[in-house]
Parts: sequence; C-alpha cells; structure tokens
Amino acid sequence: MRRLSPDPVLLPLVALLGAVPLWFAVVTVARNRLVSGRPMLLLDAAHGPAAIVELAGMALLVIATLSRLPLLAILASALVIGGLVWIAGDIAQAQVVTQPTARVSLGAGFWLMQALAALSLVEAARQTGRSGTALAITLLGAAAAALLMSGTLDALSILREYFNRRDVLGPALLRHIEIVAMAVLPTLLVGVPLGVGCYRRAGLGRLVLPILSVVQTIPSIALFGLMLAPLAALAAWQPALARAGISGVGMAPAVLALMLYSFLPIVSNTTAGLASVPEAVRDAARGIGMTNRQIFWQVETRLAFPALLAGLRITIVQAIGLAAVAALIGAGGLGAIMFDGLFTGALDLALLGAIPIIGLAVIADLLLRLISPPATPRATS
Amino acid sequence: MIRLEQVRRTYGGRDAVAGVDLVVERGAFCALIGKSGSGKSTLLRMINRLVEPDSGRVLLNGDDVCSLPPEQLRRQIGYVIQSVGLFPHWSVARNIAAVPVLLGWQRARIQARVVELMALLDLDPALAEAAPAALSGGQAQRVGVARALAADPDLLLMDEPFGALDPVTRTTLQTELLRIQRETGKTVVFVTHDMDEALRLASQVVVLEQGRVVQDATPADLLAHPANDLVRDLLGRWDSGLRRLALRTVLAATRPGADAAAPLIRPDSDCRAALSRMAELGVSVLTVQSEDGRHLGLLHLADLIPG
Repeated sequence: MRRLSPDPVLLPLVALLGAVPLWFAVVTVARNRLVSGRPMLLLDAAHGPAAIVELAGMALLVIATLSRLPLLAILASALVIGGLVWIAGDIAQAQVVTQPTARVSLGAGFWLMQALAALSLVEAARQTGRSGTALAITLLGAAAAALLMSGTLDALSILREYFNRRDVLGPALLRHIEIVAMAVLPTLLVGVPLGVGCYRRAGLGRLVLPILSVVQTIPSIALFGLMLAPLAALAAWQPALARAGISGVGMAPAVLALMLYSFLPIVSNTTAGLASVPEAVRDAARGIGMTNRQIFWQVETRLAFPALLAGLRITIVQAIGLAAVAALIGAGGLGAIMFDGLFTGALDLALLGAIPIIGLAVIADLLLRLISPPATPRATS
Repeated sequence: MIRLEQVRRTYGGRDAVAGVDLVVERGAFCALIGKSGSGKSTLLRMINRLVEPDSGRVLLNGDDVCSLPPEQLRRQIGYVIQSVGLFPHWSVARNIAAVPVLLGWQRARIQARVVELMALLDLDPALAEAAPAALSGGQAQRVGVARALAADPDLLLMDEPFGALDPVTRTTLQTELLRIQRETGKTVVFVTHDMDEALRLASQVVVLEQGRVVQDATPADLLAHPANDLVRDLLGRWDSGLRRLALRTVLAATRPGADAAAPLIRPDSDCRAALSRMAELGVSVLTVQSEDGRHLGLLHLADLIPG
C-alpha cells in the first residue's frame, strides 16, 4: 500500500476546520436588532440538504488533503464555504417564522470556518496556478449567486439590513470606487514618470523616495485631519474652488490623502522594476544598436512591467481600504455604512459596509493578478 | 579594417587605455589578452562606440567611429558578451532577429535568416520559440553568437564570450567559431584572459598591460619571442615549449618511411598531442596515417623539436 503523504499546508487547516464548530457558535440568535444574541453551535442547528452539502465538502476536503488533489480541494473548499452560508440562511429562516423580529447574526464559528476554508481554497489555487484560480472564482461566484437569488439567505440579519439600506448601498459602492479611481489614476499618470525619473537620476530618487516613505508612515486618520485646514483655507480664499466641490471635508481631502499614500508603491515599484533589468541585457541592447528610446520601450518597460503591476495592485488594494476611513471626514462610500453600524452598535450593519469593501479589494487583487503577464515567454510546446 | 591611433580613455583619474595604436586587418582574428583591469574590454567597446575615447581616433574602414551615428554603427557590428544578455522576454527566434528587425528587414527575409543561423550554430529548430531562461549556458551563447551574426556584419566584437562555459562546451564553441570565421572571412576582435584560447583561435595576439600594448604578434612569434615577463607569465613559463608544439600539425613534421611497430597518429593532430602519445606509449616513432587509412610517413621524436 502506498504511504499517505498529506499536504503539509492543508492538513492543519483541515484539522482546525473540524475542531472549530465544536466550540464556536455558527450563528447567534437575538429577539430583535439591538439586544445581544444567544449562540448556536453548528451541530445543534444544521439539518437538511445544507448540512449534507457541508458534510460532503468537509469529507472531500479531507480526501483531497490526504491524497494531494488540489483541484478537488478547491471544489471541496467552495462546498464548505457555500454550505455554511446556506446553513446560516436556513437557521435564520426557521427563527423568523416563529418570531418575525428575531435577528440571526453570523457568529465567531462561522467566520473562523470561512477563513479556514478560504485559506485552503487559496492554497489549493496557488498549487494549481492560473486554471485553479479561475475555477475557484467561478465556483464561489456561482455559489454566491445561487444562494442570494434563491432567497435562502433573506432572513439573515445582514440581508435584512441590506433590504433596509438597499437604496444607499449601490450609490455608496459607486462612490467608493469613484474615490479610489480619482486617487489612483492621477497618481499613476504622475507616479510612473516620477519613478522613471527616480531611476534615471539617483539624486532625484534619494530626494523623493524618503519623503514618500515618511508620508506612508502617517496614520490615515491623522493625514485626513491634516488635509482639513489647508483645503478649508483654500476654499475660503477662492470661492470658485469651493463651488467646484473643494472643501475641508468630503471628497477633496480624501482623494488628496489617498493620492499621497498611493505615490510610494507606484513610484518605488517603477524604480525597482527598472533597476531589476539585468545590466548585461542593457549592455547587449546598446551593443546591437538599439536607440535609448527602443531600449526603454522594447526592453526596460517590458521587463519592469510585472513590478509596476504589483505596485498598482498594492496601491489599489490599499486605497480601497483607506477610502473606508475617509468616511470619517465625510467622503461617503462604503465606509459611511460601516461606521454607521459601528457607532450605533448594529454589528450586521457594520458588516454590510465592510464585506463589500473586502470584496472589492479581493476582486481588484485577483483581476490584477490574472492580467499580469508571465515574466518570460512560454517554453516551446 | 580597424585602425586605432593614440587612443586614450581615463576613468576616475586612472588610464584604462593609455595611448594605444593598433591595426586589425580585414579577415583577421585578433585576440586582446591581458589580466583584469588591463583595458582590453574598454578597448573593445571603443570600436563600437560603447565607450568614447578621451583622445585619439578609432577608424573603421577609414571613418572615425565618433563621426558615425552610434546606433547605425553598432547595427553593422556583431557584439557578443560573456553574460550573453539575451532579452528574457523574447523567444530565441526574436532574439536572433533583433538586429534585422532594427534594420527593418522584410518578415520573410528575417524568418529565413533565423532558420539559417540556427542551423549554422547547430541549434535545434525546436528551440526557436523557447524562452532564453529554458536554455543551457552553451545554447544561450550559441543564440548570442547567432544574434551577433544575424545582419551578416563584416566585424564581430566578442568580450570573453566563452568565459562562463564549462571546458567541453567552450572547446566545442571555439571550434565552431573558428569554422564560421574561416567560412565567412569575417574580422573578429576577441577579448580573453585565457592564453590557450587566444593561441588556438587568433591570427593576431595583442597583449595589454595597464592600458598599453605590450606585444602585438602572431601566435608563433609570441611564443618564440615573448616581449617581457608579463607575456612569459601569460604563456606559462614552464610549458611554453608545449604551447609551441601545439601550434604545429603532425603532418608538418612527418618524414617519409615506414615502421610496422610504430603506433598510429592522425596527420591533423598537433605535435603536443603526438608528444603526449609517445610519452604515454613509451615509443619515439609514430606512424602517420590519415583517416581514410592512407600511409603518410613517420613522425620521429627528434623532429618534434624545431631546430
């Protein structure tokens, strides 16, 4: 008989995944929106087809881990994630039938299990490369769509918050994307040439990069605060600017602060990308008679591109997160919903703001990873 | 073809090249040899204007290279470096096609040229679409040489092209370079610090020390009359006699006669190999016989020592 050699990364994840539901509540059930709830364990609450899906997912994940089958691990992790959401939805529905004001919120056990399953999914996708990543995205997307469309989850507290706030969530999401785009696009247009300049002239690099590094260390709330006074003064001095929407609060300081944060990853990754081009390649390019412009566009840009794209990825993910904090100075966006929930103690409302922020960041990260080209042309097939 | 006149170049107050006069004739294989820091690479890079002289002139076919547009000049000169410097984001075929593309050749002509060069350098046609990262060191340098030859330049500049290769691969590539140079009649200027390589390949050996030419001679002259201790050191004080033997073929020392007991040797072997064979077998006479079995004569130990 062949000796089992379980996957060393997945094994502890799967073991924890089995242990968590024994101790941590999958949901908490409260009489209404504002009181704290009573915890329910998975084993007490799960039943019906959702429980079968969850059990099948766990069993398949164990098999995939023991036999090192990453594609099966992706499928199994997706089943665990989807099945658990389904279970939570089922419990909520059962509660609401008996007591319409009841609130079923997702518990610590739910989040821990989802995190562990997600880590397994990411690890398995990493092992299979691009095809596995695509499969993982497809499976999760299909599961999310099926669960949401079928109405299975409608009774969950977070979805009831969603139905209450449906009309503000869409605009908030768009506003969030708008803030990020308005900060990142101009930064890209200025930051990439600045990065090229920093590479070409070491003196400029020694001046610019430390300044940007210091900016990066300023806490975001402090930077937003620092923007208040100068922009308010600017608006008071030139009323035309105020009419154009520039003021100490709102979009303007948020976008400006995000731009300052975005400069460092873009500039430094552009510089690092160019510096990573081997000196021999540059010498050969010059020696065979390429002009400086040809060396830049045909060789340096192409070889620096993956690093630049990595910088852009960091920048966008960082900006999506920081834009949430910008809600504190009135910039709006998903952060406004999140803080609304936090300040009123309605945790599910806070989640309604936070989950789309995380989703945006994950989607942006995945998309930029997928379009990033392989470093070298494919070997001959 | 190449004429250097009182060429000088200073780096940080130190002369890298300190007044060099040098002529390389068309069709010559010129090896620049010296220790590191002797200025041999700088001298080479002045020919295609990667380095410009502080004073003096570098003439190529009578034109001062500094009067020509540098890119146009370099596209007419093949250039090979030790670290190869293949473009990692381009396939092997695209790398070889680099200069023809810069020169704006037609697509069909480029494709035909790439196929031709891969055959000339003995590269498997299946490698055409491979990434440079997938190549072995020897294959990569073959591609590097193919790239340098792509636009059929009259002049090839090579900066320690085989220095990073293992001895077997190095010898193979040396042999092929020599064959290509003889077939095409190209002029080659070759930087090396390996005297065996210089003696084996070059028709003209230029020994450099601290940016100056110490000796400029044919391999035979260099061995017969080393100009100073540095040249003797480079030649190896104790085995320079053997190196001289290596320059001579067995056929040149063969005399008529026959000896049924004498072991065989090929006429195109060199005399050092013949001496080694005599020592190994404990004999002083060898029968010279060609590959197709023809008897050519005898090689006597006494004839190995030039009188």
